[in-house]
Amino acid sequence: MASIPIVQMKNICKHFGGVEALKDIDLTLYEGEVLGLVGDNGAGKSTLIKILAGAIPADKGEIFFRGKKVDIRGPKDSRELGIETVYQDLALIDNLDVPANVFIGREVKRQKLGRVFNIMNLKKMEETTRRLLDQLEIIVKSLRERVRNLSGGQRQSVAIAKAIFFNAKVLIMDEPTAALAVEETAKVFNLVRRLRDRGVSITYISHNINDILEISDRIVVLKTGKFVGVRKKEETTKDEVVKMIISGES
Amino acid sequence: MWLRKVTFTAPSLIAFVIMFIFCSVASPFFFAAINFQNILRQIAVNGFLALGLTMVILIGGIDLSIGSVLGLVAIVSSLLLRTGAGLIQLILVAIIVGMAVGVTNGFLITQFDVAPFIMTLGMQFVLRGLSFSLTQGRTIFVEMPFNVDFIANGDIGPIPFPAVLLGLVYLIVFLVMRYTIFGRHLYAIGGNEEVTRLFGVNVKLVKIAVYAVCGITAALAGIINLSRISAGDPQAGTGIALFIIGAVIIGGNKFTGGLGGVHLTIIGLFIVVLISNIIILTGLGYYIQLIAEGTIVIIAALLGREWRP
Repeated sequence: MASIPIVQMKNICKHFGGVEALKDIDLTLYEGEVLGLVGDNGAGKSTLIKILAGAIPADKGEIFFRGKKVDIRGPKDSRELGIETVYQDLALIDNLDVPANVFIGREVKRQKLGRVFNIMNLKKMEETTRRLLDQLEIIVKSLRERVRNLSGGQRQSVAIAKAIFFNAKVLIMDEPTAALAVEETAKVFNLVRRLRDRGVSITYISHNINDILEISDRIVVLKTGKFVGVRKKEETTKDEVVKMIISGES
Repeated sequence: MWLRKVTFTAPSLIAFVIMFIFCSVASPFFFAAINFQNILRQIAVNGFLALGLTMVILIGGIDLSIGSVLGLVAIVSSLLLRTGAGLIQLILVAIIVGMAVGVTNGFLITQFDVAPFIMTLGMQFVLRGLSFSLTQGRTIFVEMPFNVDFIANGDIGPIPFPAVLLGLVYLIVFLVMRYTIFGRHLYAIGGNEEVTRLFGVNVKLVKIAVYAVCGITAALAGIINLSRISAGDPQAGTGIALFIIGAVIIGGNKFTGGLGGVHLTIIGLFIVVLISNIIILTGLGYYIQLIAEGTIVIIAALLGREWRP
Protein backbone atom coordinates (compact mmCIF):
# COMPACT_ATOMS: atom_id res chain seq x y z
CA MET A 1 0.00 0.00 0.00
CA ALA A 2 2.60 2.50 1.10
CA SER A 3 4.56 3.52 -1.99
CA ILE A 4 2.87 6.69 -3.24
CA PRO A 5 3.57 9.85 -1.29
CA ILE A 6 0.36 11.81 -0.83
CA VAL A 7 1.85 14.69 1.14
CA GLN A 8 5.40 15.99 1.06
CA MET A 9 6.58 18.83 3.23
CA LYS A 10 10.04 20.16 2.30
CA ASN A 11 12.36 22.52 4.13
CA ILE A 12 9.66 23.77 6.46
CA CYS A 13 10.82 26.56 8.78
CA LYS A 14 8.79 28.40 11.39
CA HIS A 15 9.70 30.74 14.17
CA PHE A 16 7.62 32.43 16.83
CA GLY A 17 9.33 35.63 17.87
CA GLY A 18 12.86 34.63 18.73
CA VAL A 19 12.12 30.93 19.02
CA GLU A 20 12.78 28.66 16.07
CA ALA A 21 9.97 26.11 16.30
CA LEU A 22 10.83 24.25 13.11
CA LYS A 23 14.21 24.11 11.41
CA ASP A 24 14.25 22.82 7.88
CA ILE A 25 11.87 19.92 8.38
CA ASP A 26 11.06 17.37 5.70
CA LEU A 27 8.07 15.11 6.12
CA THR A 28 6.62 12.56 3.74
CA LEU A 29 3.26 10.90 4.21
CA TYR A 30 2.38 7.92 2.03
CA GLU A 31 -1.06 6.83 0.92
CA GLY A 32 -2.76 4.36 3.19
CA GLU A 33 -0.33 4.56 6.10
CA VAL A 34 -0.39 5.65 9.70
CA LEU A 35 2.54 7.95 10.41
CA GLY A 36 3.33 8.47 14.06
CA LEU A 37 4.87 11.81 14.96
CA VAL A 38 6.72 11.89 18.27
CA GLY A 39 8.99 14.11 20.25
CA ASP A 40 9.19 15.80 23.59
CA ASN A 41 7.45 19.05 24.42
CA GLY A 42 8.63 21.80 22.14
CA ALA A 43 9.74 19.36 19.49
CA GLY A 44 7.50 21.07 16.94
CA LYS A 45 5.02 18.27 16.21
CA SER A 46 1.88 20.37 16.71
CA THR A 47 3.39 23.28 14.82
CA LEU A 48 4.23 21.11 11.84
CA ILE A 49 0.79 19.62 11.50
CA LYS A 50 -0.88 22.96 12.05
CA ILE A 51 1.04 24.21 9.04
CA LEU A 52 -0.23 21.25 7.04
CA ALA A 53 -3.77 21.87 8.27
CA GLY A 54 -3.55 25.51 7.29
CA ALA A 55 -4.04 26.79 10.81
CA ILE A 56 -0.72 28.68 10.76
CA PRO A 57 1.54 29.69 7.85
CA ALA A 58 5.08 28.40 7.41
CA ASP A 59 7.89 30.94 7.13
CA LYS A 60 9.75 28.93 4.54
CA GLY A 61 9.32 25.66 2.71
CA GLU A 62 7.03 23.94 0.27
CA ILE A 63 4.16 21.53 0.46
CA PHE A 64 3.30 19.02 -2.24
CA PHE A 65 0.04 17.12 -2.54
CA ARG A 66 0.17 14.09 -4.80
CA GLY A 67 3.31 15.48 -6.38
CA LYS A 68 1.85 18.91 -7.14
CA LYS A 69 2.99 22.01 -5.30
CA VAL A 70 0.18 23.55 -3.24
CA ASP A 71 -0.30 26.84 -1.43
CA ILE A 72 -2.04 26.34 1.91
CA ARG A 73 -3.08 29.70 3.31
CA GLY A 74 -5.94 28.75 5.54
CA PRO A 75 -7.95 25.81 6.86
CA LYS A 76 -10.23 26.03 3.85
CA ASP A 77 -7.34 25.35 1.44
CA SER A 78 -6.25 22.20 3.20
CA ARG A 79 -9.83 21.04 3.56
CA GLU A 80 -10.34 21.45 -0.16
CA LEU A 81 -7.37 19.17 -0.75
CA GLY A 82 -8.95 16.59 1.49
CA ILE A 83 -6.84 17.22 4.57
CA GLU A 84 -8.94 17.12 7.73
CA THR A 85 -7.92 17.56 11.32
CA VAL A 86 -9.29 15.93 14.44
CA TYR A 87 -8.46 18.42 17.14
CA GLN A 88 -7.48 17.58 20.67
CA ASP A 89 -10.66 19.12 22.03
CA LEU A 90 -12.60 17.33 19.30
CA ALA A 91 -14.28 20.44 17.89
CA LEU A 92 -17.76 19.14 18.63
CA ILE A 93 -20.80 21.26 19.41
CA ASP A 94 -22.06 19.76 22.64
CA ASN A 95 -25.65 20.93 22.60
CA LEU A 96 -26.33 19.50 19.13
CA ASP A 97 -26.84 15.87 18.13
CA VAL A 98 -24.58 13.68 15.98
CA PRO A 99 -26.06 14.44 12.54
CA ALA A 100 -26.04 18.16 13.36
CA ASN A 101 -22.35 17.98 14.22
CA VAL A 102 -21.43 15.97 11.13
CA PHE A 103 -23.23 18.40 8.86
CA ILE A 104 -22.42 21.71 10.55
CA GLY A 105 -21.71 24.32 7.93
CA ARG A 106 -22.86 22.02 5.13
CA GLU A 107 -26.43 21.21 6.10
CA VAL A 108 -28.57 19.39 3.55
CA LYS A 109 -31.34 21.61 2.24
CA ARG A 110 -34.83 20.48 1.60
CA GLN A 111 -36.49 23.62 0.38
CA LYS A 112 -35.30 27.10 -0.27
CA LEU A 113 -37.38 29.92 1.14
CA GLY A 114 -35.27 32.85 0.20
CA ARG A 115 -31.64 33.12 1.21
CA VAL A 116 -32.11 32.87 4.92
CA PHE A 117 -34.82 30.35 5.56
CA ASN A 118 -33.48 27.16 4.08
CA ILE A 119 -35.44 24.30 5.56
CA MET A 120 -33.18 21.42 6.48
CA ASN A 121 -33.61 17.87 5.32
CA LEU A 122 -33.30 16.33 8.75
CA LYS A 123 -34.25 12.85 7.61
CA LYS A 124 -31.58 12.72 4.93
CA MET A 125 -28.87 13.97 7.30
CA GLU A 126 -29.86 11.41 9.89
CA GLU A 127 -29.88 8.55 7.38
CA THR A 128 -26.56 9.56 5.91
CA THR A 129 -25.02 9.82 9.36
CA ARG A 130 -26.37 6.41 10.33
CA ARG A 131 -24.83 4.88 7.21
CA LEU A 132 -21.52 6.61 7.90
CA LEU A 133 -21.35 5.37 11.47
CA ASP A 134 -22.36 1.85 10.47
CA GLN A 135 -19.69 1.77 7.78
CA LEU A 136 -17.07 2.75 10.30
CA GLU A 137 -18.57 0.39 12.87
CA ILE A 138 -19.10 3.22 15.33
CA ILE A 139 -21.83 2.43 17.79
CA VAL A 140 -24.14 5.23 18.87
CA LYS A 141 -27.56 4.03 19.92
CA SER A 142 -29.62 7.14 19.38
CA LEU A 143 -28.54 9.73 16.84
CA ARG A 144 -30.93 12.23 18.39
CA GLU A 145 -28.90 12.25 21.59
CA ARG A 146 -26.91 15.40 22.28
CA VAL A 147 -23.24 14.82 21.67
CA ARG A 148 -22.36 15.90 25.21
CA ASN A 149 -24.12 12.78 26.54
CA LEU A 150 -21.90 10.37 24.59
CA SER A 151 -18.90 8.63 26.07
CA GLY A 152 -15.38 9.94 25.43
CA GLY A 153 -14.69 7.20 22.92
CA GLN A 154 -17.95 7.80 21.07
CA ARG A 155 -17.26 11.54 20.92
CA GLN A 156 -13.80 10.86 19.55
CA SER A 157 -15.22 8.47 16.97
CA VAL A 158 -17.87 10.99 15.92
CA ALA A 159 -15.16 13.65 15.52
CA ILE A 160 -13.17 11.26 13.34
CA ALA A 161 -16.22 10.20 11.31
CA LYS A 162 -17.04 13.84 10.75
CA ALA A 163 -13.53 14.55 9.53
CA ILE A 164 -13.40 11.72 7.03
CA PHE A 165 -16.98 11.99 5.88
CA PHE A 166 -16.19 14.76 3.48
CA ASN A 167 -13.73 12.60 1.62
CA ALA A 168 -10.68 13.28 3.68
CA LYS A 169 -7.67 11.65 2.10
CA VAL A 170 -5.38 12.82 4.86
CA LEU A 171 -6.40 12.78 8.49
CA ILE A 172 -4.38 14.63 11.10
CA MET A 173 -4.91 13.53 14.67
CA ASP A 174 -3.38 15.42 17.56
CA GLU A 175 -3.34 13.43 20.82
CA PRO A 176 -6.64 11.75 20.01
CA THR A 177 -6.70 9.23 22.83
CA ALA A 178 -5.17 11.36 25.56
CA ALA A 179 -8.38 11.46 27.57
CA LEU A 180 -9.67 7.99 26.80
CA ALA A 181 -9.86 4.79 28.80
CA VAL A 182 -8.05 1.67 27.59
CA GLU A 183 -11.08 0.05 26.04
CA GLU A 184 -12.13 3.21 24.23
CA THR A 185 -8.59 3.76 22.98
CA ALA A 186 -8.67 0.27 21.50
CA LYS A 187 -11.92 1.06 19.69
CA VAL A 188 -10.46 4.27 18.25
CA PHE A 189 -7.37 2.35 17.09
CA ASN A 190 -9.58 -0.15 15.32
CA LEU A 191 -11.31 2.72 13.57
CA VAL A 192 -7.98 4.23 12.56
CA ARG A 193 -6.85 0.89 11.12
CA ARG A 194 -10.11 0.52 9.18
CA LEU A 195 -9.57 3.97 7.72
CA ARG A 196 -6.01 3.18 6.77
CA ASP A 197 -7.15 0.02 5.05
CA ARG A 198 -9.59 2.15 3.07
CA GLY A 199 -6.67 4.19 1.81
CA VAL A 200 -6.82 7.18 4.15
CA SER A 201 -3.42 8.50 5.24
CA ILE A 202 -3.16 9.35 8.89
CA THR A 203 -0.69 11.50 10.77
CA TYR A 204 -0.91 10.65 14.44
CA ILE A 205 0.67 12.71 17.17
CA SER A 206 1.04 11.33 20.64
CA HIS A 207 3.14 11.50 23.77
CA ASN A 208 2.35 7.91 24.49
CA ILE A 209 5.13 5.78 23.01
CA ASN A 210 3.17 2.57 23.53
CA ASP A 211 0.22 3.93 21.57
CA ILE A 212 2.53 5.16 18.82
CA LEU A 213 4.26 1.81 18.52
CA GLU A 214 0.93 0.04 18.37
CA ILE A 215 -0.85 2.16 15.80
CA SER A 216 1.87 3.54 13.50
CA ASP A 217 3.32 2.01 10.36
CA ARG A 218 6.22 4.43 10.43
CA ILE A 219 7.48 6.71 13.18
CA VAL A 220 9.07 10.13 12.77
CA VAL A 221 10.95 11.68 15.66
CA LEU A 222 11.45 15.41 16.12
CA LYS A 223 13.48 17.24 18.74
CA THR A 224 13.54 21.01 19.30
CA GLY A 225 12.36 21.70 15.79
CA LYS A 226 14.78 19.42 14.03
CA PHE A 227 14.21 16.13 12.28
CA VAL A 228 15.85 13.29 14.20
CA GLY A 229 14.96 10.13 12.34
CA VAL A 230 12.33 7.90 10.84
CA ARG A 231 11.78 4.20 11.47
CA LYS A 232 9.41 1.53 10.27
CA LYS A 233 7.51 -0.03 13.14
CA GLU A 234 8.87 -3.53 12.48
CA GLU A 235 12.42 -2.27 12.32
CA THR A 236 12.57 -0.51 15.67
CA THR A 237 12.01 -0.94 19.38
CA LYS A 238 10.52 1.18 22.14
CA ASP A 239 13.96 1.74 23.58
CA GLU A 240 15.32 3.01 20.30
CA VAL A 241 12.45 5.43 19.84
CA VAL A 242 12.79 6.74 23.38
CA LYS A 243 16.53 7.17 22.86
CA MET A 244 15.88 9.15 19.68
CA ILE A 245 13.40 11.40 21.44
CA ILE A 246 15.68 12.16 24.36
CA SER A 247 19.08 12.34 22.74
CA GLY A 248 18.09 13.71 19.38
CA GLU A 249 20.42 11.26 17.72
CA SER A 250 19.40 8.71 15.17
CA MET B 1 -42.21 4.94 30.49
CA TRP B 2 -44.54 7.71 31.58
CA LEU B 3 -42.21 8.55 34.44
CA ARG B 4 -39.47 9.22 31.92
CA LYS B 5 -41.75 11.53 30.01
CA VAL B 6 -42.55 13.47 33.15
CA THR B 7 -38.94 13.96 34.15
CA PHE B 8 -38.13 15.23 30.70
CA THR B 9 -40.89 17.78 30.82
CA ALA B 10 -39.68 21.28 31.44
CA PRO B 11 -39.70 22.12 35.16
CA SER B 12 -41.15 25.45 34.15
CA LEU B 13 -44.19 23.72 32.71
CA ILE B 14 -44.69 21.86 35.96
CA ALA B 15 -44.23 25.14 37.83
CA PHE B 16 -46.82 26.78 35.61
CA VAL B 17 -49.38 24.06 36.29
CA ILE B 18 -48.77 24.36 40.02
CA MET B 19 -49.08 28.14 39.84
CA PHE B 20 -52.30 27.87 37.87
CA ILE B 21 -53.85 25.58 40.44
CA PHE B 22 -52.63 27.85 43.23
CA CYS B 23 -54.11 30.92 41.57
CA SER B 24 -57.43 29.18 41.05
CA VAL B 25 -57.81 28.57 44.75
CA ALA B 26 -56.20 31.77 45.94
CA SER B 27 -58.72 34.12 44.42
CA PRO B 28 -62.31 33.75 43.23
CA PHE B 29 -61.64 36.40 40.60
CA PHE B 30 -58.97 34.36 38.87
CA PHE B 31 -61.05 31.87 36.97
CA ALA B 32 -62.98 34.42 34.94
CA ALA B 33 -62.93 35.02 31.21
CA ILE B 34 -62.22 38.69 31.64
CA ASN B 35 -59.23 37.92 33.86
CA PHE B 36 -57.80 35.47 31.37
CA GLN B 37 -58.25 37.99 28.61
CA ASN B 38 -56.42 40.56 30.67
CA ILE B 39 -53.58 38.12 31.29
CA LEU B 40 -53.31 37.42 27.59
CA ARG B 41 -53.17 41.11 26.76
CA GLN B 42 -50.41 41.62 29.29
CA ILE B 43 -48.42 38.77 27.83
CA ALA B 44 -48.69 40.24 24.34
CA VAL B 45 -46.49 43.30 24.81
CA ASN B 46 -43.95 41.41 26.90
CA GLY B 47 -44.20 38.49 24.52
CA PHE B 48 -42.83 40.45 21.59
CA LEU B 49 -39.97 41.76 23.70
CA ALA B 50 -39.22 38.26 24.96
CA LEU B 51 -39.29 36.75 21.49
CA GLY B 52 -36.31 38.65 20.14
CA LEU B 53 -34.53 38.53 23.47
CA THR B 54 -34.81 34.72 23.55
CA MET B 55 -32.93 34.51 20.28
CA VAL B 56 -30.23 36.86 21.54
CA ILE B 57 -29.81 34.89 24.75
CA LEU B 58 -29.66 31.64 22.78
CA ILE B 59 -26.62 32.84 20.85
CA GLY B 60 -24.95 33.75 24.09
CA GLY B 61 -25.67 37.46 24.06
CA ILE B 62 -27.94 39.89 25.87
CA ASP B 63 -29.89 43.01 24.95
CA LEU B 64 -30.71 45.53 27.63
CA SER B 65 -31.93 48.14 25.16
CA ILE B 66 -35.27 46.50 24.33
CA GLY B 67 -37.27 48.62 26.76
CA SER B 68 -35.81 51.81 25.35
CA VAL B 69 -36.55 50.69 21.80
CA LEU B 70 -40.14 50.13 22.88
CA GLY B 71 -40.34 53.61 24.37
CA LEU B 72 -38.73 55.28 21.39
CA VAL B 73 -40.99 53.58 18.88
CA ALA B 74 -44.06 54.31 21.00
CA ILE B 75 -43.44 58.04 20.99
CA VAL B 76 -42.23 58.18 17.39
CA SER B 77 -45.42 56.37 16.39
CA SER B 78 -47.57 58.73 18.42
CA LEU B 79 -45.88 61.71 16.79
CA LEU B 80 -46.42 60.16 13.37
CA LEU B 81 -50.08 59.57 14.17
CA ARG B 82 -50.37 63.26 14.94
CA THR B 83 -49.16 64.07 11.45
CA GLY B 84 -51.79 61.77 10.00
CA ALA B 85 -49.81 58.61 9.36
CA GLY B 86 -51.58 55.26 9.07
CA LEU B 87 -50.89 51.87 10.65
CA ILE B 88 -48.83 50.62 7.73
CA GLN B 89 -46.49 53.58 7.97
CA LEU B 90 -46.18 53.07 11.72
CA ILE B 91 -45.22 49.44 11.25
CA LEU B 92 -42.71 50.27 8.53
CA VAL B 93 -41.07 52.99 10.60
CA ALA B 94 -41.03 50.70 13.62
CA ILE B 95 -39.29 47.95 11.67
CA ILE B 96 -36.74 50.40 10.32
CA VAL B 97 -35.99 51.88 13.73
CA GLY B 98 -35.83 48.46 15.38
CA MET B 99 -33.58 47.08 12.68
CA ALA B 100 -31.30 50.12 12.82
CA VAL B 101 -30.82 49.79 16.56
CA GLY B 102 -30.39 46.03 16.36
CA VAL B 103 -27.89 46.16 13.52
CA THR B 104 -25.93 48.84 15.35
CA ASN B 105 -25.86 46.74 18.50
CA GLY B 106 -24.92 43.60 16.58
CA PHE B 107 -22.31 45.26 14.40
CA LEU B 108 -20.46 46.99 17.23
CA ILE B 109 -20.62 43.87 19.38
CA THR B 110 -19.25 41.54 16.73
CA GLN B 111 -16.85 43.85 14.97
CA PHE B 112 -15.17 45.33 18.01
CA ASP B 113 -15.70 42.48 20.43
CA VAL B 114 -17.59 44.66 22.89
CA ALA B 115 -19.41 42.84 25.68
CA PRO B 116 -23.09 42.75 24.73
CA PHE B 117 -24.07 43.78 28.24
CA ILE B 118 -22.09 47.00 28.04
CA MET B 119 -23.02 47.80 24.47
CA THR B 120 -26.75 47.40 24.94
CA LEU B 121 -26.60 49.14 28.30
CA GLY B 122 -25.18 52.21 26.61
CA MET B 123 -27.72 51.94 23.81
CA GLN B 124 -30.48 51.73 26.40
CA PHE B 125 -29.51 55.14 27.81
CA VAL B 126 -28.95 56.73 24.43
CA LEU B 127 -32.38 55.73 23.19
CA ARG B 128 -34.11 56.71 26.41
CA GLY B 129 -32.48 60.12 26.27
CA LEU B 130 -33.56 60.40 22.65
CA SER B 131 -37.15 59.58 23.60
CA PHE B 132 -37.20 62.28 26.23
CA SER B 133 -35.62 64.90 24.03
CA LEU B 134 -38.07 64.20 21.22
CA THR B 135 -41.02 65.01 23.46
CA GLN B 136 -39.38 67.24 26.05
CA GLY B 137 -40.39 64.61 28.57
CA ARG B 138 -44.07 65.00 27.82
CA THR B 139 -46.49 62.20 27.06
CA ILE B 140 -48.02 62.45 23.61
CA PHE B 141 -51.78 62.10 23.60
CA VAL B 142 -53.31 61.39 20.24
CA GLU B 143 -56.50 59.94 18.86
CA MET B 144 -56.03 56.27 18.00
CA PRO B 145 -57.44 55.22 14.64
CA PHE B 146 -59.50 52.06 14.87
CA ASN B 147 -56.90 49.74 13.41
CA VAL B 148 -54.18 50.94 15.79
CA ASP B 149 -56.49 50.65 18.75
CA PHE B 150 -57.51 47.17 17.68
CA ILE B 151 -53.97 45.87 17.97
CA ALA B 152 -53.96 45.85 21.75
CA ASN B 153 -57.63 46.15 22.57
CA GLY B 154 -59.44 44.17 19.92
CA ASP B 155 -60.68 40.61 20.12
CA ILE B 156 -60.98 37.71 17.75
CA GLY B 157 -63.95 35.95 19.25
CA PRO B 158 -63.16 35.40 22.93
CA ILE B 159 -59.41 35.77 22.44
CA PRO B 160 -57.67 39.15 22.55
CA PHE B 161 -56.19 40.05 19.18
CA PRO B 162 -52.64 40.71 20.46
CA ALA B 163 -52.58 37.17 21.85
CA VAL B 164 -53.60 35.71 18.50
CA LEU B 165 -50.91 37.78 16.81
CA LEU B 166 -48.33 36.71 19.37
CA GLY B 167 -49.27 33.05 19.03
CA LEU B 168 -48.86 33.20 15.27
CA VAL B 169 -45.50 34.95 15.44
CA TYR B 170 -44.21 32.57 18.10
CA LEU B 171 -45.24 29.60 15.99
CA ILE B 172 -43.38 30.94 12.97
CA VAL B 173 -40.25 31.69 14.98
CA PHE B 174 -40.42 28.26 16.65
CA LEU B 175 -40.52 26.55 13.26
CA VAL B 176 -37.69 28.69 11.91
CA MET B 177 -35.49 27.90 14.91
CA ARG B 178 -36.10 24.19 14.71
CA TYR B 179 -36.24 23.44 11.02
CA THR B 180 -34.13 25.96 9.17
CA ILE B 181 -30.38 26.21 8.72
CA PHE B 182 -30.45 29.68 10.25
CA GLY B 183 -32.07 28.29 13.38
CA ARG B 184 -29.56 25.49 13.67
CA HIS B 185 -26.64 27.85 13.26
CA LEU B 186 -28.14 29.98 15.99
CA TYR B 187 -28.10 27.07 18.43
CA ALA B 188 -24.63 26.04 17.23
CA ILE B 189 -23.21 29.49 17.94
CA GLY B 190 -24.77 29.46 21.38
CA GLY B 191 -23.27 26.05 22.05
CA ASN B 192 -19.75 26.56 20.75
CA GLU B 193 -19.01 29.73 18.83
CA GLU B 194 -15.39 28.96 17.89
CA VAL B 195 -16.12 25.52 16.49
CA THR B 196 -19.09 26.84 14.57
CA ARG B 197 -16.89 29.50 13.03
CA LEU B 198 -14.23 26.87 12.30
CA PHE B 199 -16.65 24.95 10.12
CA GLY B 200 -17.49 27.83 7.88
CA VAL B 201 -20.57 29.41 9.44
CA ASN B 202 -20.62 33.21 9.15
CA VAL B 203 -21.02 33.74 12.86
CA LYS B 204 -20.81 37.54 12.70
CA LEU B 205 -23.64 37.74 10.19
CA VAL B 206 -25.91 35.45 12.17
CA LYS B 207 -25.29 37.44 15.34
CA ILE B 208 -26.03 40.75 13.67
CA ALA B 209 -29.22 39.27 12.22
CA VAL B 210 -30.31 38.06 15.64
CA TYR B 211 -29.74 41.45 17.28
CA ALA B 212 -31.62 43.03 14.40
CA VAL B 213 -34.60 40.72 14.97
CA CYS B 214 -34.50 41.60 18.66
CA GLY B 215 -34.65 45.28 17.80
CA ILE B 216 -37.55 44.71 15.44
CA THR B 217 -39.61 42.73 17.94
CA ALA B 218 -38.97 45.38 20.59
CA ALA B 219 -40.11 48.02 18.12
CA LEU B 220 -43.32 46.11 17.39
CA ALA B 221 -43.87 45.86 21.13
CA GLY B 222 -43.69 49.65 21.14
CA ILE B 223 -46.65 49.85 18.78
CA ILE B 224 -48.63 47.45 20.93
CA ASN B 225 -47.77 49.53 23.98
CA LEU B 226 -48.95 52.67 22.21
CA SER B 227 -52.19 50.95 21.37
CA ARG B 228 -52.64 49.65 24.88
CA ILE B 229 -52.28 52.96 26.71
CA SER B 230 -53.49 55.12 23.80
CA ALA B 231 -50.60 57.49 24.28
CA GLY B 232 -46.91 57.87 23.53
CA ASP B 233 -45.18 57.68 26.88
CA PRO B 234 -41.42 58.42 26.74
CA GLN B 235 -41.01 56.43 29.93
CA ALA B 236 -42.67 53.34 28.48
CA GLY B 237 -40.58 50.23 28.87
CA THR B 238 -38.28 51.68 31.51
CA GLY B 239 -36.62 48.89 33.41
CA ILE B 240 -38.55 46.18 31.65
CA ALA B 241 -35.51 44.50 30.10
CA LEU B 242 -34.50 42.74 33.30
CA PHE B 243 -38.05 41.59 33.88
CA ILE B 244 -38.15 40.06 30.39
CA ILE B 245 -34.78 38.41 30.92
CA GLY B 246 -36.28 36.93 34.07
CA ALA B 247 -39.20 35.51 32.10
CA VAL B 248 -36.89 33.96 29.51
CA ILE B 249 -34.77 32.31 32.21
CA ILE B 250 -37.71 31.19 34.33
CA GLY B 251 -39.03 29.42 31.26
CA GLY B 252 -35.88 27.33 31.22
CA ASN B 253 -33.60 28.88 28.62
CA LYS B 254 -29.93 28.62 29.48
CA PHE B 255 -28.53 32.03 30.29
CA THR B 256 -25.26 31.39 28.50
CA GLY B 257 -27.03 30.21 25.39
CA GLY B 258 -27.35 27.15 23.21
CA LEU B 259 -30.22 25.49 25.04
CA GLY B 260 -33.90 26.35 25.10
CA GLY B 261 -36.34 27.97 22.73
CA VAL B 262 -39.30 30.28 22.39
CA HIS B 263 -41.66 27.54 23.57
CA LEU B 264 -39.95 27.78 26.96
CA THR B 265 -40.12 31.56 26.93
CA ILE B 266 -43.90 31.38 26.59
CA ILE B 267 -44.09 29.33 29.75
CA GLY B 268 -41.84 31.78 31.57
CA LEU B 269 -44.02 34.67 30.45
CA PHE B 270 -47.13 32.96 31.70
CA ILE B 271 -45.57 32.25 35.06
CA VAL B 272 -44.41 35.82 35.53
CA VAL B 273 -47.69 37.34 34.45
CA LEU B 274 -49.61 34.90 36.65
CA ILE B 275 -47.59 36.04 39.62
CA SER B 276 -48.40 39.68 39.09
CA ASN B 277 -52.00 38.80 38.31
CA ILE B 278 -52.62 36.83 41.50
CA ILE B 279 -50.89 39.44 43.60
CA ILE B 280 -53.12 42.13 42.18
CA LEU B 281 -56.22 39.98 42.63
CA THR B 282 -55.40 39.21 46.25
CA GLY B 283 -54.39 42.79 46.92
CA LEU B 284 -50.93 41.97 48.23
CA GLY B 285 -49.25 44.86 46.50
CA TYR B 286 -46.50 45.65 44.04
CA TYR B 287 -43.65 45.20 46.49
CA ILE B 288 -44.68 41.63 47.24
CA GLN B 289 -44.86 41.07 43.49
CA LEU B 290 -41.27 42.17 43.09
CA ILE B 291 -40.11 39.90 45.89
CA ALA B 292 -42.06 36.99 44.41
CA GLU B 293 -40.66 37.46 40.92
CA GLY B 294 -37.12 37.79 42.16
CA THR B 295 -37.47 34.69 44.29
CA ILE B 296 -38.80 32.68 41.37
CA VAL B 297 -35.90 33.74 39.16
CA ILE B 298 -33.45 32.58 41.82
CA ILE B 299 -35.27 29.30 42.30
CA ALA B 300 -35.42 28.79 38.55
CA ALA B 301 -31.69 29.41 38.27
CA LEU B 302 -30.90 26.95 41.06
CA LEU B 303 -33.20 24.21 39.80
CA GLY B 304 -32.29 24.80 36.19
CA ARG B 305 -28.66 23.82 36.69
CA GLU B 306 -29.18 20.10 36.33
CA TRP B 307 -31.98 19.96 33.86
CA ARG B 308 -31.18 20.48 30.22
CA PRO B 309 -33.88 21.87 27.92
